[in-house]
Amino acid sequence: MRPRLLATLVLLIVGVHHAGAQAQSRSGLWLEAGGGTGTIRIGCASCLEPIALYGNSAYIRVGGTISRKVLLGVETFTLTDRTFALSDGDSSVVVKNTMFAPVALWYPWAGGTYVKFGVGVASTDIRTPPREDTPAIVTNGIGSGLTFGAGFDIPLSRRFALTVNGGLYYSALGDVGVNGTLIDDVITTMYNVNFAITIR
Amino acid sequence: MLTYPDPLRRPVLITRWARLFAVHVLATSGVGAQRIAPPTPTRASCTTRQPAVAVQQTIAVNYAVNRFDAWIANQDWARVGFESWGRNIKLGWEWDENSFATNMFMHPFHGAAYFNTGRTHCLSYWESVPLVFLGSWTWEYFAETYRPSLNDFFMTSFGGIALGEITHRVAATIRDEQADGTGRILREIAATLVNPVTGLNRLYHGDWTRIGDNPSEHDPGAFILRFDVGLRSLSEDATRFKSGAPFMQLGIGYGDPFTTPYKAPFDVFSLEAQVALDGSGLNVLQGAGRLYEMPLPGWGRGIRHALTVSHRYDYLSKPVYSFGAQSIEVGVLSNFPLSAQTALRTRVGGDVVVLGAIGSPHGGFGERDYDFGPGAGATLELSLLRRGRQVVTLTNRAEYLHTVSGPAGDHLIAFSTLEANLGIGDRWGVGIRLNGDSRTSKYLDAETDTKQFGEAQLVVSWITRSRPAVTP
Repeated sequence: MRPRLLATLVLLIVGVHHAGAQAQSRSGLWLEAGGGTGTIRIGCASCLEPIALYGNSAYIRVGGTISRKVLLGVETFTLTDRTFALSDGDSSVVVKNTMFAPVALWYPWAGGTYVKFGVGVASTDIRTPPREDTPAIVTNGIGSGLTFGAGFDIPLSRRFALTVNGGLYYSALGDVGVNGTLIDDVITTMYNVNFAITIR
Repeated sequence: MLTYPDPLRRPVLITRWARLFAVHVLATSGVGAQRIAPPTPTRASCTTRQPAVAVQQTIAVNYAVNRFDAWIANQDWARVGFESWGRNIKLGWEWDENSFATNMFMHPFHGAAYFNTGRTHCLSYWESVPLVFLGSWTWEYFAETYRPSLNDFFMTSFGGIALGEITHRVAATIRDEQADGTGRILREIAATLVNPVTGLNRLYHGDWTRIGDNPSEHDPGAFILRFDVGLRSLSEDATRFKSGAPFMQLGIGYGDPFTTPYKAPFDVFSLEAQVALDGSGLNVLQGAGRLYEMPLPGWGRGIRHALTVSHRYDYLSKPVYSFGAQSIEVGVLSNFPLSAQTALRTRVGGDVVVLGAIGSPHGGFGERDYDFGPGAGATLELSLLRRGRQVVTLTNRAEYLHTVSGPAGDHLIAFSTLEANLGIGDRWGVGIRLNGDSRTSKYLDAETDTKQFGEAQLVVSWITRSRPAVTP
């Protein structure tokens, strides 16, 4: 089994390397979808220190090519934490941060490495599950967001690529109510790493 | 494009100063301009892209401004170190409480310096954009002891891009690299006041006296420069006007959307700056630059339409209200010829406010008396033109802002302007402007507040044009 597994791995690496020798950049319409993991830091006007959470992220990015080095598209990104605690012993609150933004991808070099910039609409939903005496409560905030990132495409074939990227998301969300308390001027910062499949 | 080897280009500042001083003495001592020209070999205006130097200078701008504030201005917030850097990284973003002028004008002007480190080193508009974000981000984390401010990051970055490209192009029109003598030096000084980063780089490299090709930005084709002086009267309820106060206004029209073919961002822009002489200082600074334009089919003889995407910068700080915004506008411009010398121009657009600021009675946070928020808006403008000059202009604009820093609420602000001008000869004119603005603020925890503002202006204008900016 082991030699066969080793041979398979070698073939896969050689195949990826061979595909990498082909044209690396995207052309025409492209679609990128993936997911990963990340952290979110929630700060507010009256918070002494930001709260840091960890969660899973997912995104879809779709767009077109305007030049050999520059792509334009739109991106929707979500990071969800299902274990947010409002009090000791409670970890059932779901915090979901979303951003929808037009984005620009810039490939400064000949390979598949790119940097990303976008500005758009950001929102957060905080869902408190039903208790014995209260129904489920969903509160939200909406505002503007900025995103920066970098990544690279590893060609798998002429039409498909494996994309690895890291992103940074700043969201200005305003006042958000949680359990009857208004949290002032919320700002969230998300860092994440994603793996995606790109159709190009 | 002429390129020459540059043996004189060496980093010895005293040599530059000595040469500059010598040229100045010769020029002012009655020696003919022809005899001192050309002092150095000619060269093209921008020959080598230097992104690494641009990045270094972006960081150098931060270092120089921070050290000025720490050592000269003696500001405690500028005494940064590992402790403040670690704290800022740990705590992250917040909203600050600085004044409206600091946040909405000074920060964008600071951002313009970052942007122009790129433009000075031959980077394009788009290539210079990341430098503004880099400079602003590093300033917020490492150049102030305060926690990084998200509103500063937005305003410095987006405002810096707009003001950076505008100052880059205005300075290029002031400079004339084919001129010499005292006039040349005065032009370089004036351009340096508009765009200090490029001016100081040029001084260091000896470009203030070098004869060369002007960059394409030097002559946009159509160009209008207008100076107004006048009296204005303000009202907080649109009926009882206070007695008039003097003001000055500068207007620039760079390029023309119908006669300047689209080549690069901001190859067409407009800028208005108003300073009141009643002690309130800079009241208005508004600019809008074309990012992209696509001609649309016209449906009649001579009728032209164009779809445009523009970057808007707004700073309105009047005694009765304040509003500022960074926005992206998508609109349709149209030109309808009415006769051989007259035309009607229209602009219909919608915009997205990336982040705006608005003053309101319940607004603000801490010492701040205004709110921040994103939003959207719409504009309708009609202009009657005669021989390329605006005779009557009617503008209606409304902007909605959703508060993300300040008391929870939403704001709607509407601007209406009627402007009429009467030309006296080619250069002079008199005019009247009537502004009627209103603001409605709805709060989650306070009563809705509505205000109306009125303004009447009587102006005398002086106009110079390199070419008619508008062809009917």
